[in-house]
Amino acid sequence: MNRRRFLHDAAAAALLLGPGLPALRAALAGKGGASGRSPVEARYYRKLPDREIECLLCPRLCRLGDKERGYCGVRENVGGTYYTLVYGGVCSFNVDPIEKKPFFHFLPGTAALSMATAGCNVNCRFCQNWEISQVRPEQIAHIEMSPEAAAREAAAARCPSIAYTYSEPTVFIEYMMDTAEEARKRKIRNVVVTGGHISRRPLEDLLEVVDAVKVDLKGFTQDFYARYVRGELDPVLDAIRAVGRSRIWLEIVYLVIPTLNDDPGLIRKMARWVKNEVGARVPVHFSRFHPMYLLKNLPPTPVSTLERSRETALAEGLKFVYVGNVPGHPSENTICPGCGTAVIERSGFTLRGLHLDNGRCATCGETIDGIWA
Amino acid sequence: MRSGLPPFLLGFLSASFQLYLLREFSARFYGNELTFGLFLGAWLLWGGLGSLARPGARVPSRGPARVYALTILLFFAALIALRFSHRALGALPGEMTGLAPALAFAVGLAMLVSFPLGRSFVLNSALLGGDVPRVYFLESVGAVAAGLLIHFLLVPQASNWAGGAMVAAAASLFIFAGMEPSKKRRWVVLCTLLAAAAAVAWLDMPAQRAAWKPLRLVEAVDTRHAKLQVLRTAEQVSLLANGLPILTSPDPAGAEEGVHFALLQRSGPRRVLLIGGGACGGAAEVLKHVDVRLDYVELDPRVIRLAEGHLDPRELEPLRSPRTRIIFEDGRAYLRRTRDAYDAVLLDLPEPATAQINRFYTREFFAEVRDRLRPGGVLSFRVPSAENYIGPDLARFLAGLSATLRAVFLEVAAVPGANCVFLASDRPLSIDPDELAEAAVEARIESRFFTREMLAARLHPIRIATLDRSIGEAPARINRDLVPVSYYFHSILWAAQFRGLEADFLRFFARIPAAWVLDAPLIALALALILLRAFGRTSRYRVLVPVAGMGFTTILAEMALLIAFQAFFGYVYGKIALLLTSFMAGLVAGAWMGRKRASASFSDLIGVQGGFVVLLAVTRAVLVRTVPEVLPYLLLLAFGALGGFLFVAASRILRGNTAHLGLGYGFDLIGSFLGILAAATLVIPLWGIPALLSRLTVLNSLLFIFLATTSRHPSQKA
Repeated sequence: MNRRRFLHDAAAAALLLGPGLPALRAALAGKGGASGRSPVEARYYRKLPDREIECLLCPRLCRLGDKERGYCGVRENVGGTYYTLVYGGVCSFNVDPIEKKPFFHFLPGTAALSMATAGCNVNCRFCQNWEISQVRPEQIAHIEMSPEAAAREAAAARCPSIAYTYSEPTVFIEYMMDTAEEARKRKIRNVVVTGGHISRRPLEDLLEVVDAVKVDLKGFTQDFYARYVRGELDPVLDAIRAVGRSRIWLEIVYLVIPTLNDDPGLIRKMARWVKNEVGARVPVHFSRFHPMYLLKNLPPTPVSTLERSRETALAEGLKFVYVGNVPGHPSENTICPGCGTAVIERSGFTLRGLHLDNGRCATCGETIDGIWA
Repeated sequence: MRSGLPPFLLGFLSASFQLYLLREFSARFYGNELTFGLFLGAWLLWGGLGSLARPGARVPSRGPARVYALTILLFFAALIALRFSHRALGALPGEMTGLAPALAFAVGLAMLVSFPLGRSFVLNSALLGGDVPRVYFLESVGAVAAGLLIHFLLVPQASNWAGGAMVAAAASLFIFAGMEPSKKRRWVVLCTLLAAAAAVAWLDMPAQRAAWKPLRLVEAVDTRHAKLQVLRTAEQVSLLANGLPILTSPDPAGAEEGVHFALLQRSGPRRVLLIGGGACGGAAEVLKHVDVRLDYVELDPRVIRLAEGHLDPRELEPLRSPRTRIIFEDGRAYLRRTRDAYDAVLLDLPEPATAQINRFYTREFFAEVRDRLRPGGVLSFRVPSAENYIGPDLARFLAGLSATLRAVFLEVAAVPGANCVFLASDRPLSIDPDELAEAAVEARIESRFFTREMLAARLHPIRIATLDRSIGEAPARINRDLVPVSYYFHSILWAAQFRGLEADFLRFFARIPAAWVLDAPLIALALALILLRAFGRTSRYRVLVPVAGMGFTTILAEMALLIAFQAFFGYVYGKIALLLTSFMAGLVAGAWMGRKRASASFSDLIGVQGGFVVLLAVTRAVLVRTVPEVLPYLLLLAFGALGGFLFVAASRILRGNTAHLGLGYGFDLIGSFLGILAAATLVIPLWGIPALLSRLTVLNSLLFIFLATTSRHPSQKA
């Protein structure tokens, strides 16, 4: 390599660091185009003329030409037929306490077989699983696991539930629904941890086969969603409404990021909306932001901000409001709205006491909403 | 106009602006050497291009004064643009940005300031009748003056903005008094420059506060070592060094995992050494072990002072405990000096994101720790990992650290989680959740995270197996002081967060054999020199070959010495002005010696080229272990002297043969640009300083042979 060549390469590198040329970038990265693995046809799309398709899975409604992928990066139009590329391609697989999801009113103290594939249909700047959510399936390692095998694994690990989590389960909905049906055959329940960025019809189908949904409500303004999530708020609210009005158990997590979405007025508005739209007895968790991904240099949320948010939500009439990601905080306990006693005592993932009698407070008999067995 | 003043001011302004912009750039883009190299490279490139821009037929006598006045204003604009750069990028303050924006800002800001200064070199040369060596000499003297002023007076006393403003104000007075005594509008120019300087100095803190909004910046200070900033939201306090958090309080999770995995390995630990992190809960967690005496080592006393000013007094109680001894010293220097033995050594430092921090994750450092551990003693540190998926980049980074530990310790364990906690010892280690929970109960440790259930969730067999398999299967390279590969692999992790090509680019070079980058260019150069010898041996322009080679060599040697200094002593940012000044002083001495000679000949160039070969070989030989602190200064001085002499000799040979006065200077800087781009981003982190110095020795030997075999042509005197 002489100096001229060196200079040429350096200049080329500088150019490539920018938006660059896709083909060259792919060549340099040693990647091809479509991966071609797991070519299972997607369920939610419609065909258009000229081998184009429109994805109907999420509110983005990606319109794709031949060989193009959706925003999520895990669905591809091949010759006018739309395929999911992550069916059975499990990249993360663990056994977690159900409280870690968090579900506080769903089989407390049990473990959930937790799994994910690559991909996500939003791009949160604070994602804690960006290594799998913000990549294409061919960029990460995975294991092939059929729905039957996943259900078998859950049974073998004595997990009463399977959690579809970590990345965004919406983007692997076909695999999730098939696995959920296999799990049900073994009397294993299914829980979904989602950002709620999903269209109505796939959500309705999903609610037929799962038992609980936790929605991450990441903010309560469209501006926040546009800036920090690259998504839209209204479809998420629609999804929460749809889950809340179904027979499926719903919990909501609101990740409080200091100065970005912690305004007390906003929290009050959100709490009112929850109460009016899905009911005061839906659990709401105000979770502590830990610096992650592109916001890793920001400070974590002060615990006092979470406490203030909780107080605001309680004042608005919500019944089950928690402080999350602060192990040992007293607001991890479930307090009976009737008599104020702690019916479920928790410290982190530790269940310190369960004072329920057939879904009712052991002290006063008040119904504590949830799925307890 | 005093004829020596303009070139002196050129060096003075150029060195000052470069140092201050570099410090600010480094603080904005996380203080790592990759961005450091980008900026320095861009600076040199624009300086070189400025010199290569051909001068016009008439050079106005007031040319330099106008350019200097304009450059001062552009320097202020560059400072402001850098501070609010996140706004231009649509990012939050503190939000991570990738290499591409860093490169764009480096190129843009360097163009604003360095290009006009490079052009000034040509103007000055024209005004001095084409006496390029004299301009070079005076410019170097100006740079030395700036370096000494900044290192000894300004950095200890003033912020970067205030220091830059003072330098600019002083230069404005010089321009006013010495360069344009008869100009009518001089008062307007002077007042404008002084007002701008005063505004910049005064607005430093308000501008920082404005830049951090909506977050609340409550204090900021530029120390020798870094830009320290304190953010506060309610009770949550974060201290950032060069934009990266080094302390956040309260942070019970971080404090607990950083301490108890290690201290619960053995019953009844008594002596613990904590390097960093004591002020954010680490010391408090250590003192929960009732018999422990804690030695807490912190490099920068300002960190503790800032913590004392902003943390809850209860958080600081452990630091005032009679069981705690605080030592203000570099952690490695302390380990080398002390004769005390410890049951545990705990690192609570940022991950090896820079060469500065990398030195706490090397085989040499781990060996120093091992020598101070009692039998069965434990070393512990944690680095950011991923809780739910270990990708190939992360696996390689963790595998490197694991392999480096295994090169020193018999037993190594890795705890999975959002942070991966590494433990190392000469005796068996346990990360069994039941055993750890039991040990916590026995030691009566009250904790949120060391309960049976919390540990069981974190240390589930699947998670442990996933991490072990990822580490076991990934290619691993040992991280060493002079081959800081962990810093490189961390750079890939950082770059992977952005959807651009940065990570692919870095991965590509990590994959290819060293010979492609290190040896193939040498072979190509040898072939090029053979061709040049065959077809261009009669041209005097061939002196540009050693000039470019000199620029390339000296900047690489400079970079190698700076990073070696960093690895050995750990405070290169505190000494950067002095180190660079040593180099510039060498340039002055070399240029002075060159000018003293009655004439310059090719034999001078051959002699200097031989000198480079010898000096590089000596540097390669001595930099195998920790050297006395004075040695890097002396070596920089020597490299500068050879470079200065060579530049003057080459310029004198070229003089009269070209109307282009900036040609030699331009080639010098462009050679330097290529050198720094390669060294900072690739060669040093991936293949190390010894390999680099070996290749530089070969390169200079080739140039030596080229010059020696082309020197018999007539009319070589100048």
